[in-house]
Amino acid sequence: MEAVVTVSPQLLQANLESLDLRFRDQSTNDGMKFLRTAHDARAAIVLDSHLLRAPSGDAFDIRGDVDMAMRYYCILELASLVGAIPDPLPAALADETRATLSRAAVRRYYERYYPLLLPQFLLRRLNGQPLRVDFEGDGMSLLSRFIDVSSLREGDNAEMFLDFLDDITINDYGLGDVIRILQNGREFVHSMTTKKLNEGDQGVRGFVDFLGFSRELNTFLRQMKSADLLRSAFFHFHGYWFQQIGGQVLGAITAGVETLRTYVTDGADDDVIAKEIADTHKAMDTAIRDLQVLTSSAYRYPLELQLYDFTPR
Amino acid sequence: MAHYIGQELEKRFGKRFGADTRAHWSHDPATHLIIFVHGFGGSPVKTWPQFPTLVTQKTPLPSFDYIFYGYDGVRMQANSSALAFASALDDFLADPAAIINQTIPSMSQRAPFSYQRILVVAHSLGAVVTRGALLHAHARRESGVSVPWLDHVRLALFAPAHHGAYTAKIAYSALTSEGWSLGGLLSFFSASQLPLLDDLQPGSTIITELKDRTKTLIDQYKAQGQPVPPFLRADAVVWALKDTVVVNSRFFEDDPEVPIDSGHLGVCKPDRPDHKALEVVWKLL
Repeated sequence: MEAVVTVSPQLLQANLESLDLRFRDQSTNDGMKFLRTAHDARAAIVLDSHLLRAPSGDAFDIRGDVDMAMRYYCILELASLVGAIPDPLPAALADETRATLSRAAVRRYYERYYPLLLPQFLLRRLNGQPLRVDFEGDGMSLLSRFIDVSSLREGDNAEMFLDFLDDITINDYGLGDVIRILQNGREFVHSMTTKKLNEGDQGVRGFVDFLGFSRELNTFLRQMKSADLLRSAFFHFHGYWFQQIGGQVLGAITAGVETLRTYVTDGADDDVIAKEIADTHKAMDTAIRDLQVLTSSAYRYPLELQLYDFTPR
Repeated sequence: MAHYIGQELEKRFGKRFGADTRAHWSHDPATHLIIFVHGFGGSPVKTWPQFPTLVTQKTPLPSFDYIFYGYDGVRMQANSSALAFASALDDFLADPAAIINQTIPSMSQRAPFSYQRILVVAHSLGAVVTRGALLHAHARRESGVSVPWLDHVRLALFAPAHHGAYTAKIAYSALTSEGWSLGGLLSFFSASQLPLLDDLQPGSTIITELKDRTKTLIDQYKAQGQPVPPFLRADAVVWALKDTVVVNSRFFEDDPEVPIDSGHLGVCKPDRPDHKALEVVWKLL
């Protein structure tokens, strides 16, 4: 069933402003301005692959702003997909976004070096080829819930953990420290309860937050029945990170969970406690399962199929 | 009824209105406010997953805003959380439009107003925090400070922990669901690391004070021939029939309980429009 938009143009405009209030902070605006106005040579340097050219301190900060801008473009596409904002977008925003996303250095950034599908579909939309999705229910409520779930990934601790996943070390702390702390019950509890956090403690809390976020995201996506393409679009808002944690990193995280499992007592005389212990094991199994699903192609594939030509030759 | 996308108040206002608090403002000027307060180990987003979608589905309802209040439900003492909540309520309700207008589109700016009704929906430890906050607010009023919003408060409590909880069980139950990774590690925790484990023991200082102060006030109102105000008596109390975490027992003048066939955590997670939990909230709007 095609999404039926019954809301007034004023309401759609209000929703867009509401999204701006939530997603267009100073960093986002700075990122959008850089992408729009930086000279070609400067844009090419700052937006180069970090594997080819390590970003300078200045470029590193700008890249943070650019990622916020990309996040805004992603949410614009999702909001458009569910019919929550004006279609077409207001001319000024549409023209500016089209010009920005069409720049060669910018396209290289979000199409090739750090592939994001949603900005690619947004550009198509702005060029008159919008993606259409079928779904049931109220698009705005769906988007609102998704945004709430997504925010679980955006806390300072989760961001620290994600930085670690991205090969970044901060004050000499990195992913290895998180794994090390997970392997010691007392250190883990210290990290979870101390009021004087170092970057390693933050990474550990971020790890726990990220698992909680993964569970909520997987639950949200599973509940979207008969809407494979929209589900895939929502997934791709976070898809980059789940691709990052595929393979070896997923193995390391799973090892962390299994290490924690060794601290869970085997059983208890009290039936209730025994049940809770069983539930703990079950929750750990579910956490690993959620990550396996999210790092698989299950949600990723439908939108990729729309974008890439898979026809065998 | 339409609401704007939830706004994270902490990003704009710091901790003034709690930690990680989410606010959903109505498109139309609201006369009512619902504040959801999570329990031990909970969070504004994870404790009430379907409520935001489902609660708006009944018509007609008065226009309402809703807030998912957040606080540290693992590491902070219950009394400290109650004080912070009281302060947040005072701060916000003194001039709601001044806060709301900073987080809604310019075309929808509201004129100064007060809510006709403030419904606090609290789960588990959230009931202790809420009752404590309202007692603090009352004490401030007794000291001569104007607290007009207090008379507009109504309470709906889900699996409330105001009689205490079987502490190890609440920790297991809450943590295995909300932060499972801590669930099996209780033996590593000391009381100073998780003061709430002591706070929630039946007969703890916190629980005893909460009961004593409430009873004293109720007795005062009755002695003066006045009705017990709604901030001292919950208009709705929901018990989870399969609850093994909190002590189910009536709290002084609270309304008779509504039983729901669920566990401690499921009681505040409606998954369909005909769920009793929603009926409870709708009835009080």
